[in-house]
Amino acid sequence: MNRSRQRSLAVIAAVGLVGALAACSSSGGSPDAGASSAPTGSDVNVWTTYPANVNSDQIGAGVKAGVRAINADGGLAGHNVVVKECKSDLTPQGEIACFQQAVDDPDAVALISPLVITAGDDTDAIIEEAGLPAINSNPDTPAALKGAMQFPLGQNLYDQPGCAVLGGDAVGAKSITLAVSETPNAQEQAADAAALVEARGVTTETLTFPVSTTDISPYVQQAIDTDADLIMPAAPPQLMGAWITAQGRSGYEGAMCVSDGLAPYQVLAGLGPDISDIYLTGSFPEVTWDYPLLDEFNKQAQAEVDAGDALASPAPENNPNLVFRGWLGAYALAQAAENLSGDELTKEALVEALNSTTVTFGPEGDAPMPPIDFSVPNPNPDMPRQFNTGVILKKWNPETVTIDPVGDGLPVPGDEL
Amino acid sequence: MSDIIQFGLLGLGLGAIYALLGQGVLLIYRGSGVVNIAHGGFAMIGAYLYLQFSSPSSFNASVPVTAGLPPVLAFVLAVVVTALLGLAVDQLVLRRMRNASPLTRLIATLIVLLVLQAGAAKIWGYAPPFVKPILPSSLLKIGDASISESYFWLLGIGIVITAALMIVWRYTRIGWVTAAVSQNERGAAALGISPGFVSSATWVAGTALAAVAGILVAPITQVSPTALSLLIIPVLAALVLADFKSFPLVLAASLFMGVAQTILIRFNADFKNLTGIAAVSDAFPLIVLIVVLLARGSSLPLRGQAGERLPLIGNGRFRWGIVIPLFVVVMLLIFLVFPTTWLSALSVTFVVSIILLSLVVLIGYTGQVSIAQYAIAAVGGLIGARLTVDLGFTFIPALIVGTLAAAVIGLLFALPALRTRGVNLAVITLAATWAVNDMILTNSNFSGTSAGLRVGQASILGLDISGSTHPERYAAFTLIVLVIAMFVVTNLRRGRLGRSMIAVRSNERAASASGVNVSRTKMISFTISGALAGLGGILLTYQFTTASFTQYDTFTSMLAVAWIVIGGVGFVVGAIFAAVGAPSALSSLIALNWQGFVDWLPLIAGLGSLGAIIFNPHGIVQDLSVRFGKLEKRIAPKLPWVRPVKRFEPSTEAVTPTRVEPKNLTVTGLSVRYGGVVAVDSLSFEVRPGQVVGLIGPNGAGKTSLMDAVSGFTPYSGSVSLGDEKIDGWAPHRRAGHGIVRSFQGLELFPEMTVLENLQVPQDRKIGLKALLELVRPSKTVLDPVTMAAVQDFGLAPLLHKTPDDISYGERRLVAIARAVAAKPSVLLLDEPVAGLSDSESAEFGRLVRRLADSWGMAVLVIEHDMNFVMSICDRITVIDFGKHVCDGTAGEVRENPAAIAAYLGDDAEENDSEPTGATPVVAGKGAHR
Repeated sequence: MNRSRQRSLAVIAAVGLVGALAACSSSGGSPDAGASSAPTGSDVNVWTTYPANVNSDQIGAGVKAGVRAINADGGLAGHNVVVKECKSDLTPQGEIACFQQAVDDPDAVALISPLVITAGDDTDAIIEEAGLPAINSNPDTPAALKGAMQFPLGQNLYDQPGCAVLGGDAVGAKSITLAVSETPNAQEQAADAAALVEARGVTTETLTFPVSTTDISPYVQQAIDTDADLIMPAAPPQLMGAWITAQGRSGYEGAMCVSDGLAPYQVLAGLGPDISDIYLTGSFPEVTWDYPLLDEFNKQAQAEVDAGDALASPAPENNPNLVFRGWLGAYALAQAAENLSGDELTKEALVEALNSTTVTFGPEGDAPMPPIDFSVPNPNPDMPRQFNTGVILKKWNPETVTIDPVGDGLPVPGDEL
Repeated sequence: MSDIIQFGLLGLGLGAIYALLGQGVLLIYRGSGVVNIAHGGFAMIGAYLYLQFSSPSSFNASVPVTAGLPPVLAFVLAVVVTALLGLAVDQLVLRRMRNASPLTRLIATLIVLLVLQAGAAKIWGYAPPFVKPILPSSLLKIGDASISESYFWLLGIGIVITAALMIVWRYTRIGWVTAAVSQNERGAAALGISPGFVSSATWVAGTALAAVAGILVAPITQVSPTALSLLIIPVLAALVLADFKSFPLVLAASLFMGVAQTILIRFNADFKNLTGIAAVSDAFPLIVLIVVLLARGSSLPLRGQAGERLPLIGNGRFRWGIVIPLFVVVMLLIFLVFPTTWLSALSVTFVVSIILLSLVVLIGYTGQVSIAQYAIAAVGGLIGARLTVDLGFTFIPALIVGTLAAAVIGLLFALPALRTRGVNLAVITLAATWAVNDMILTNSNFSGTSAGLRVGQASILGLDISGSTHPERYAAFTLIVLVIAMFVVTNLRRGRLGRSMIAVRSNERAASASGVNVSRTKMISFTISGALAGLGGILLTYQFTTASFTQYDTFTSMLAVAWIVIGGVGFVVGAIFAAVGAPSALSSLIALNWQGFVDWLPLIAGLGSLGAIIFNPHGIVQDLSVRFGKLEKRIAPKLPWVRPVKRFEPSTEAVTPTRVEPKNLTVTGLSVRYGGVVAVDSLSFEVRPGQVVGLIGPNGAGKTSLMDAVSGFTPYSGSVSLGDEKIDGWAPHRRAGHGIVRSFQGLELFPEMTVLENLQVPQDRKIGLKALLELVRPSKTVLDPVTMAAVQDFGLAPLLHKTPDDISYGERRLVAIARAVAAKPSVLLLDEPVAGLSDSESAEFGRLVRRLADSWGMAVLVIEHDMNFVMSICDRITVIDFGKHVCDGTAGEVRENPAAIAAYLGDDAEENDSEPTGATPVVAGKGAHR
């Protein structure tokens, strides 16, 4: 055997070994969702999709936790539910491919908690044509906000405006500085937020910084130099950790407000008393709050962890908001299934059921969010599918290292800010 | 003013970070000759290791928990482990690539970076850990400014490390040994110094420094798998500013970069409000590089820079017999078999292939290492999208106009290439990519809202071909465009433009001496590749109804170069092989169908790529093309539709040498100075048509400097005339075009081209409409009468289809002269034409040179140390020493001249006695070289 051939075989063997490790390390499907009262019908598939390699895998774990509970309770209309995951490569083509894979699956009945970053309109077109519903999706593009197959439970559009108005009110801010990364999403929200508070007589200044920046300190200093009462940074989580750290150590005495999905828990906890007056906004409550819904979530997440999926952990270091996001989609699916007419579980039947479903989040008076009625569109003609515009204001507690509600912790309608 | 001071002080911290990293990069470069693109990756690994060893609870629950060690021990351990990783890279990767081109080794370090990032992501995930401060970080008040104490500590550590490196470099044995290797590896090896040991030692030290830098700066920058990687761009800018010269200079340059860049940050918002362009501070490394190039760059490489080899290139044959059947089969599969996910992946593969074809033209054919092609593709796509969104352009008009616009942008990127080359060019295009990405592509003023830019459905003459609604049609359309692009690029390879490009790639000096306008050739290459990249970018943009530009980040641009080098940067098919691995291309189907691989894919791809580049430094396709060539020879005769390849065969009819246009070469008062050294001092002489004039003198007399000056390769004072025309200030290619052509001491043939193609280069120098038409229909191979006569006269017919590596040294010398003759020179300058030849070969050569003067009417100036050769063929001989004229006359007169004897010939000169007939060889005298 000549040396060139030997080398080629050596390379193939090395790559194959890593590949085998990969195959062995992940089953590629959901852990066995064993049921105490086992479903008796045929399997149905639900798909979830999110970007690979950017710390979003907890979404899939959350979906699996919810589906495990569904199967434990007899399945969906008697059918065993199987979770299929598709991790996209953060390109439009990759996201579209995942959606296409879901609609090509003849046994698929829904997409659960899909996370789309770059291809909102095109992915919406795919599920529209296929009639496949996306439950707890994140529509934020013109077509997706009108898409009849979109059934979002949260919102993407009001975190920054919420920070500006609710956070600003909480600290009595007369001036706000928005420091946003050079990404279209962050800049749009910042513009909306600035417009809202300027209408209320608050002065604003907007600073931007590139996503590729290494030392965030000069930008933090620039924001601090504006002497604002409230600073609102918005950037991907890695940069947010650096911002929060730099601002925390700068001696700045004003307040900060960020979207809850962007503030890394480890950084907040690690800074200790160096930071205070950090407010956060988001669609959903913190999983540590005291509500029956969240108790249910914590139990089901733990059950998934016990079955071997560490990513479903509700521990604060594991970004449990993402687990909750995933789980909530399955939770809504279960409620929708109760409205199925007939025994057939098809995507068409599920869409019909969803359109007559009101998702409740606990007993009346003890729910962290108001019910979402999918039969009542948002009156704004540009976003009829934005059923929930609620923004919840939260605050970081450095002593208990938790995120606590501000006031009653209930959502304020974002379109009424 | 106080805010500027404050930003300046902050900039000292950033500058210290650059310096800490830059010293490590410089150390590795000096010891191993490799620019370590992965340096930021090693810094990142060091930071992660420190965290893992000192405070494992910093990570989330999925990270393996180890015992927390005391900080000092954790620090040392992290540095040691990182250094061992660096040693492994040197031993297992770069040591095996010692004979690979500098480009390939640069790409290898890029792939190492990807492996480090993928490995870090797999072990520690993407969730940002909390990093405790290591250095004291209380706030210091300086006037109105507040700044963390840690910045000054970083600055102090940077200064101490610089001083330590300087002391080691200057005053220790390891420093001297490393300096010796960095200046002359072969010379050092001859003295018993092991370059391998030095390389490993500097990799260990350099990556250890990287780890130190990473650990110290992590509390400021935080840690993620990609956190410190792009720092290599401003670090390299600082190194270029310091000319890779010394550690103190790198420190100074780094601090300058850090301070200036941070002060610019202060004005980012104002600049954006004024112009709409964001993050102008990120353009600062690019601005620095451009200024340095203008001040320091040269339009042609220096004498020692010639001869750097790039990966092999293909012969550019468009195999119709394979392409057509394959095209038909793929089309059938597209329309009848493939599901939608496959069609989308195929479209991406075809389109990325087109973008990578631009790199085949630019790097493969022209040798211009540009990392900006993906950025140009993105800008092309952006222009196309904006034409649709803002001006209502439909798909095809947007495609055409956008492609043309991208061609113009490509032309802009040619400008730095006119003054620099190699790694420097790679660095400046990398800086440009970073700037374009931050200032334009992620700027919503240009690239649209979070919804992207709605370009709508692509259609042609009313037929909807959008990838959203008709993925099969879009796949078919992109395949057609790809085949056309491949056709054009292969025609380019085989035509005069391609030969000029390859000549430039192989040897800019020799190309210029052959009449090739190097600057114009580069500009044409950048323009064509810009058009190809833009075409691909627009096709990617219009695949679906909304265009997003977030996928064109700096890493993807770097990766594109890595892909094509792995695939085979000199081969058209290499672009397709490389494109298969692009995001969302065919390889993504693996991940789509086996989700368990998705998290491992970056690591698998990285390791696979490393293996591919180590064992196939010329690209996978090069290896396959050799095997395929053998297979083709066996099978092709049996396939009726495959026509045998017709090779050019020269005519056997005797061609009478054509007398050239007679022109005198008149040199008057010519002086050449290099700084304070006078290499040539006011020399005057004349060479007439039909005359052979010899120029002799001891080593260092100024002979080659004189020849460089006369041929336009070095500035001079005085005057040179060709016929009645003064040619002072003319570039070498212009002199060659007007009839003054030279050969080189080192031959400097174009090794990737056959002998035939080497000879065609001078006759191709006129690039006109015909050259562009050849992109569509290649001309038949024709040698003009002068070149044919040279082939016959020099006996080169049997060698035409061989490359220089396949022929003997003597034959290579003949090809070098024949190439010069093919340019139809009135004046021929020969620089040591018989060095290394045997007596009989020299004699034959002498007869050849005489014929050039006698039969062709050329004026020939010969530099030689072989006295037999000189005395036997020259009509007149000029002797120079220390740049000054000593004497001149016939062979006999010079032999008798005491000054000439003293300067050069020595006591043995009386034994040498011959007339310039070329008949009787003489005994070599003092100073003669064999």
